[in-house]
Amino acid sequence: MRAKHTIALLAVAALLIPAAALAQQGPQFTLGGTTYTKWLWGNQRYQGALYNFKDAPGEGYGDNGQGTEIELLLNAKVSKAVEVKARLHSRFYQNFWTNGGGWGNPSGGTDCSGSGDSVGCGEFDPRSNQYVKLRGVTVTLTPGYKWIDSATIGSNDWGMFDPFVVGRMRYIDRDNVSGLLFQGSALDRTLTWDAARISLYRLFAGPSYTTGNFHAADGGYVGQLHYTPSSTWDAGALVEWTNDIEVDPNDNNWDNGRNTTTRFRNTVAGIKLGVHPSAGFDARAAWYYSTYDSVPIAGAPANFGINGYSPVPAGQHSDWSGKVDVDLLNLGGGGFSVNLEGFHIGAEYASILAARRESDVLLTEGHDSTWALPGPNNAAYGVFGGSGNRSIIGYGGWEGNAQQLATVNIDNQFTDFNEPMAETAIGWEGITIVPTFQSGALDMSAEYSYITYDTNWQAWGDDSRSITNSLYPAMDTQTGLGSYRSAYAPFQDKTTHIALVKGKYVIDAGKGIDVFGKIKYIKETDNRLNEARYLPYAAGDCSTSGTLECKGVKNYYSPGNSTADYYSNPPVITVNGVTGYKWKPFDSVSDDDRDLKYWMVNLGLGYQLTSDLYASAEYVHFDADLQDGNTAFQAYNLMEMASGKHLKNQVIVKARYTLGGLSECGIVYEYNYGTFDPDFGGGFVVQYADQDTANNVKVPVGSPGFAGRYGNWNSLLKRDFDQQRLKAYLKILF
Amino acid sequence: MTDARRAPSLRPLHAALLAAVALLAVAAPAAARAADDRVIFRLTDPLGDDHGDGSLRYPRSNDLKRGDLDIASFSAREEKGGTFFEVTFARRIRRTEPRAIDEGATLLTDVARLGFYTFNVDVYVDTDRKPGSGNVQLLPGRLAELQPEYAWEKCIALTPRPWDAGDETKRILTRRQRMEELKARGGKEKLPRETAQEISAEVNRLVDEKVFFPTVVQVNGPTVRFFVPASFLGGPARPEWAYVVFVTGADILQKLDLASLLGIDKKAALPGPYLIPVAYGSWENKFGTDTIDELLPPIVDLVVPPGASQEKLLGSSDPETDTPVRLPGVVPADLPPAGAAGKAR
Repeated sequence: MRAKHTIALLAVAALLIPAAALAQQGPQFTLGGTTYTKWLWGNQRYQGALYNFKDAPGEGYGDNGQGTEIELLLNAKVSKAVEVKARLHSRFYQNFWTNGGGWGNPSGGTDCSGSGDSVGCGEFDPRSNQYVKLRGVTVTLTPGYKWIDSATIGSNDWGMFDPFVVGRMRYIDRDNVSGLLFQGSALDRTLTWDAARISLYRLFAGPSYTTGNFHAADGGYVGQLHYTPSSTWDAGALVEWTNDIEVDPNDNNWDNGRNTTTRFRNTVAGIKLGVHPSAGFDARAAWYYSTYDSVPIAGAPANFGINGYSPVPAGQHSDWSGKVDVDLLNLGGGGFSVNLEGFHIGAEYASILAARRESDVLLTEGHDSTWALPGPNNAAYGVFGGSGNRSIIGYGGWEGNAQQLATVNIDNQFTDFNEPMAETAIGWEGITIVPTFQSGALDMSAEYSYITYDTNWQAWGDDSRSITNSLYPAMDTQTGLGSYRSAYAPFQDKTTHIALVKGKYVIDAGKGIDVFGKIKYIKETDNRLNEARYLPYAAGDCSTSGTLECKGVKNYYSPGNSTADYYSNPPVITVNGVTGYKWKPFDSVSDDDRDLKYWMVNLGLGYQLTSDLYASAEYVHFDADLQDGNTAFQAYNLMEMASGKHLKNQVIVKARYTLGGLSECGIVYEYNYGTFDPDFGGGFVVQYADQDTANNVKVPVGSPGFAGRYGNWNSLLKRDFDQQRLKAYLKILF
Repeated sequence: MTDARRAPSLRPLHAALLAAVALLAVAAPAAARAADDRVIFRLTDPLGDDHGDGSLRYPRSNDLKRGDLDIASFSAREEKGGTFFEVTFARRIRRTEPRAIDEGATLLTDVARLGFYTFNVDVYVDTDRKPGSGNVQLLPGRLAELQPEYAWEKCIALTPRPWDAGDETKRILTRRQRMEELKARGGKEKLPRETAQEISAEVNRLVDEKVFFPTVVQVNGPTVRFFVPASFLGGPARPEWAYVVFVTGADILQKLDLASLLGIDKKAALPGPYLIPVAYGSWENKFGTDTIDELLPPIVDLVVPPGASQEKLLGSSDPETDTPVRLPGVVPADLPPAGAAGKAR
């Protein structure tokens, strides 16, 4: 029997009106939070952490395990002018359900590093136990004075500035960096100002990812003005000064206090202008200048070898960056728009507090996140074998296209495979054109980008130095199909062309079927060493006929400096009756040439199965022909060579279910499979893996390859890759 | 390197890809000529009035700045199968980016899939223009009503999470209707299950019939366009209808108000699905105000008819009598010719 009541839609909403008391005046206290449970599964069988990627020394990573965390958010509005917030959060790193609550010491105290497969030390290791930690406290004062709007003391994500200068902290670190922030306005709020003193985060905000020994007084000082007199134009300026000091070891008079000396100083200034006369035209320009001095004390490096690691170069540098954006929107009212961008990010531009992740400073899509590190399956230093050099993120890499950032201080740590990869754009300069077309349920766009590099140089841009004595940190080196944080190389002569078309259409069937796809092409060349005077040895040093031998007559490009110090000649070996060089002698400027022809095709469907459940599936195919130097180059003797044919496929299935609007669960499954068919050129004798090599780099005994200058093994076998991984989660907000 | 290492010629594919890029670059003219012919109406709104009743302050959050929710114009354009409504703001719309929004690295683009995340736009349409016909109450949390002569028959609620907002709206209204039914029965006995289910079904039917949450949305610079099928409005939008249009801030992460749910604090109500509320003082995640008014609506900008004042309208509630603000509609057909549509600058 139908109920004898009628419902006037939203008449009941009247009940909400007297019940609402949103403008309470008295003190208020609210307690809320989130609980998050993650389930990882993968066929790499790692179990070092509940995050897929973490490659800092001594840290763990994993693709298997389950864990739960909770965060509590306390908010107290003491008065109209005073607000206090705090966040408590349980550790989420190696807190596996299989720890049984984090009790005891699973490894028996033998390995508490948490590195690789280390299970940590349970309750005795903060990465494993489930203790709740104070993550941040913020006090905000809004005194109501005309000259200041608010003063915020404590934790902050610093997202009010600029990713080129002081960038927003990534989400999981949003409370890690504290300081003082003052904000105000004038001229009827057309002029706003922000001023801050940020306590430098000693885990990354300085050379060699530290702020030295004396960290407690280190700070960054930033000021910003923004003027918006109308909606048609606006202007801004900001300046930031970082001061990292150490106690002066030469001060022997402590009776009058102790002197300090500078370890790192960084000044960055920026000006911006925006013009928006109508909804159809928008133009923005920004220019930045940085100068810094890194002094080699307290762990700050004086120089680097071929593959140094640091968030800034060593020594003194200055440079500029800038970009201009013009948007022509909805031309003629027909749904067609064009976005244009010209950009230059100087080779020596650096701001230690620039955004490291979860921002994107350029219009271009850039590279794809599935190619993250030099090896064919995203390993760094994989040629040296061992558990410490295997691929961490795995063959599939990360998802989608990369986000470009104006720093080499890129942060992809503590991430999962379903996130985008951040990549450095230091040195990038060029143009990007993005036409778009929107009509009805169709949304299409294209891109063409031409990128050349301010880091194109020979011998690090200074041939008075050895190439193994550089001021620039090359990180994981620019080899292979991807290297997310490597902006520098000893020799570079590189250009990149990116072209793509992508689209999305909603088919009017059921609740609407999302169809999406993309075709992308990248052509990238890098002649690297392109002047004969930089070749390691004199012409004809290694004979190519008759009795094979190398005389070892070095070629010096400047007094005492020769690339032969790094690219040594090969010995002559005999393998199975074949005599020749162990690797090709580096005797041609084309020996290290890079030429990439890269295609990516993506097609997917998404559907709102019910009002609570959305699912999608997509297939991505990659086809890359890469010439990345031959055995003379050997990927800088450090990385797996990736010259050859790469065919990669990804099947990605996602589902997201919202429970009652206040909680949700979801799942992402990825199946990555493909092949790498190496082609390292000729000029060397093929060698065969012995038992030790087989055990170390996981190749069959007797399989073909070659051993490089440092004993590193590059296999000549065609490689078949297969990676499955899954992430499921449950999240409840309260 | 020898030629043998070079890949097969990809010139035909290069040409195809470049042709596709070029095709987009010449696709506009034909479409543009037809576009203007299909504009049904266009309303303008003064800039710089994104302050509600005049006292509203934007949250201190870095995701919302002054101008972001400042409506410059509202228009309707006939398209095949329905109507594209278009709202242009004073500033470029903040696009969703693939950045984490929780500890599990859920991406903003996965949660707010339509390309925007900072605002909701409500459009209430009086299609029959009959006084006393239709609804004067608005969606939950808006803390406002319509003037009776503009009572609405159709509501279009643009929100970053349309499916979730629709479900949440139904849940809120069902819960409240069940409470009302229980109260009517004396509140002593549990509501029969059959009655509860009937209430749920009826609320769901009414919401589906009268409220539309757009899912075909385009974001371009400062403009958002959203499609409403003719099957919902009964045809394309008409300039003779009355429209109440306003913008509120969007909170894409809905949290459960435990105090309200458990009845501990009856005055602390769930503000409305994915809506940023207003509160006295200055806040990071709420609009602030110095107005002491429990009925101050979280409406940031409102399109009003000529001669009307947004500030006066949104400040006209009477907490002593529990009387909310009452909003008028705009009838495009009644306005002067183009250039003076909506409220005069």
